[in-house]
Amino acid sequence: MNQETERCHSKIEFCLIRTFSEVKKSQMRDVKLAESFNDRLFARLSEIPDEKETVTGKFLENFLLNKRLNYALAGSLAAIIAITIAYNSDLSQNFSEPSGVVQGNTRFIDQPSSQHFMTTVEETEFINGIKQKPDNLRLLQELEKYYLMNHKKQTAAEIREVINLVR
Amino acid sequence: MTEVKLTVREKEIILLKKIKEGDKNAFIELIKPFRERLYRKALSMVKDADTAEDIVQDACIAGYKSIKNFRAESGVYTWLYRIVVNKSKDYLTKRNKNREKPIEDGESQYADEREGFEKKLELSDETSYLIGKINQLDEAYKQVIELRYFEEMSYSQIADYLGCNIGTVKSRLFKAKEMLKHMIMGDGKGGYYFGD
Repeated sequence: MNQETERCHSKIEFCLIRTFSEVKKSQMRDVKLAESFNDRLFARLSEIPDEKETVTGKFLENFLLNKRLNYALAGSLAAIIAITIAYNSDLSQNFSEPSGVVQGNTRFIDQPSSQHFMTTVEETEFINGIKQKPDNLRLLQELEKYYLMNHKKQTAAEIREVINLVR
Repeated sequence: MTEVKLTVREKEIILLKKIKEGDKNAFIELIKPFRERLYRKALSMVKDADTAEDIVQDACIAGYKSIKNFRAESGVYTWLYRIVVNKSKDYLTKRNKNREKPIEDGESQYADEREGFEKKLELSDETSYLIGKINQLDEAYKQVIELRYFEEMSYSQIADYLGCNIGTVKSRLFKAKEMLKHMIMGDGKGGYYFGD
């Protein structure tokens, strides 16, 4: 807006304020609300039955009107959905085996069920326990022979591994 | 003990809370500052004192009944003003349907009577002249001029009332003033109003 336009608009604004101020003063002088207006209005308002707010109604109204709460709930729900999708997609990530494979925990360690899974500490204690008596080593060797004779090579191999640790 | 001074909005919020609890006197107190303005607005539209008072009463009753839905953002006056204007328009529409003389296309009975109404008030020549020019503006521009300078609404209140954004309000006000400037200069009164 250039200076000339701004100047004209300021003058028009001043004239408008003055004009309507005069109109309002004239109206206030010549136009008045009846004195009985309030009494009449109060009488009409009294005819309107009061709507008793129930505790449940008030709670629901506040709950629904509580935008912050609604946004928080919506945000939480979105986060839960996102986490659930991410978790499920993570589980199914390694599922590339052909059908027939049971989907589940794919991070299992491929060990025979007959072997106890031991920690390094437990393993050391086990080996030390066997070493304490020489007969234990002999028994392990007899056991290895037994499983070999019965064609249970897998079990025999596991016992062989233990014998190697003891020696 | 120091008295805490409350703003107009704070007072409104306190009264609204009481009204929602069923306090009818609080509602009378709430509308007290602007019931005259609402009455003058209704009167300027319908041109009859009793009808205007009925309209304001009806608007107040309607406002009281829907007080639970009222959100304090727009202000009580702007809210009731809208109800008064709508009820006045409904009245005029109903009345015009019953008129013997049909309203021709383009004729605005409301605008003509408005000018006549203002003529009944004792106004200076300058004021009467400017009112006449304002009445020649298109309805959209006349409306923003009235809301801004007669109803003394803020830009945000006007935007809320008209259902548009503040930029639109400012744009319309600018164009309205431009049109008034051209009309005044066209009448050869530029020297009087904008003279150096």
